Amino acid sequence: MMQHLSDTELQEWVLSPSQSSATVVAHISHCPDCKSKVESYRALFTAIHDQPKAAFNFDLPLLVIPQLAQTKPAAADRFIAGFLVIFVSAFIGIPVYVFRSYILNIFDGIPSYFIYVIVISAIIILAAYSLDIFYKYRKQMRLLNFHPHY
Amino acid sequence: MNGRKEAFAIIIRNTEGLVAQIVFQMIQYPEDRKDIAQDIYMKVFNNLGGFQFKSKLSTWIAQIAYYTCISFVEKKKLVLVGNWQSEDGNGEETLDEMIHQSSVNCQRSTENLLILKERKAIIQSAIATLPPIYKTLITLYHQEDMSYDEITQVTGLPGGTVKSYLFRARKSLKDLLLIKYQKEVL
Repeated sequence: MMQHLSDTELQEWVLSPSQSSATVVAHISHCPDCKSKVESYRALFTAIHDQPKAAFNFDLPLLVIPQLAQTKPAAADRFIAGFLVIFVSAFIGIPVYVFRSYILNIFDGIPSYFIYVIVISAIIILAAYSLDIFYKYRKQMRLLNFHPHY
Repeated sequence: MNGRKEAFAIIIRNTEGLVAQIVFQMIQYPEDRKDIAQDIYMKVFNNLGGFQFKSKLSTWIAQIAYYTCISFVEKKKLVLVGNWQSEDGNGEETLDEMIHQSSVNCQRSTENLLILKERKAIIQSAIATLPPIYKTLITLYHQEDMSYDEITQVTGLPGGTVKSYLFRARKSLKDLLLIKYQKEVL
């Protein structure tokens, strides 16, 4: 007696025929019962896909947006960001200004080719870092792209 | 702040369709859906800083929607998957009971279905007999074209469980429709 395919195998065949085994393919091509079930599944999946999509019958942004006012103090965020920029600039700028003569003396004894090596290396590292940031940004923007159907 | 609100309104507009699909399948009563939808987007807004770009933004929002619905359903002590969860071989037996029960339910509404006489309505009616999680998985896979991996991210269910639930739900739908309507529908 012929062993029919399981429903799991039949569903897999309908959803991704290329991943089904040769045995499954051969069986379906010869077995009218399984072929009939395959057609039923195919019709079912098409029917589900064609069902009207659910949608809210109210304006969701209009309901949600007014509730956001008290949740995030944007002015405070801007103040913190500004304070951090000033603090970091002062933290680096003041010592550089105060000790500028010492800093310049450091480079006096160094051969010029060595300075070039340092500068070129710094540029290469900076470029690599910038590229990394750029690729990360592109990846994040791809992830921010919404669901293809909306 | 206004810029932030406008940006968030765009996020809502672009994802509310997917969120609606989840909410409608998980939450039975329309009056609850409005509160839940608002709750979902308040959570999204308050946790936007925690979005780590490990998935698509829409998938992350769908995950919040799914967990908000699960939390609501559990609070109300409603059945999410029922006895279908059993994986010790009783699944098929329970499935048969479920199909039988669904047939009985369908018979009660046969008059309505006969009046409608539309395949979409019949399929919709059959899907409605499934437990909430099964309905959601079917919708995400077959209507939203999400992959198994994406559904796993949204639901937090193991990949094998997602596949198993989907196989059972599809078989149940096919059997139900064939038993009740023979080949007229499919």
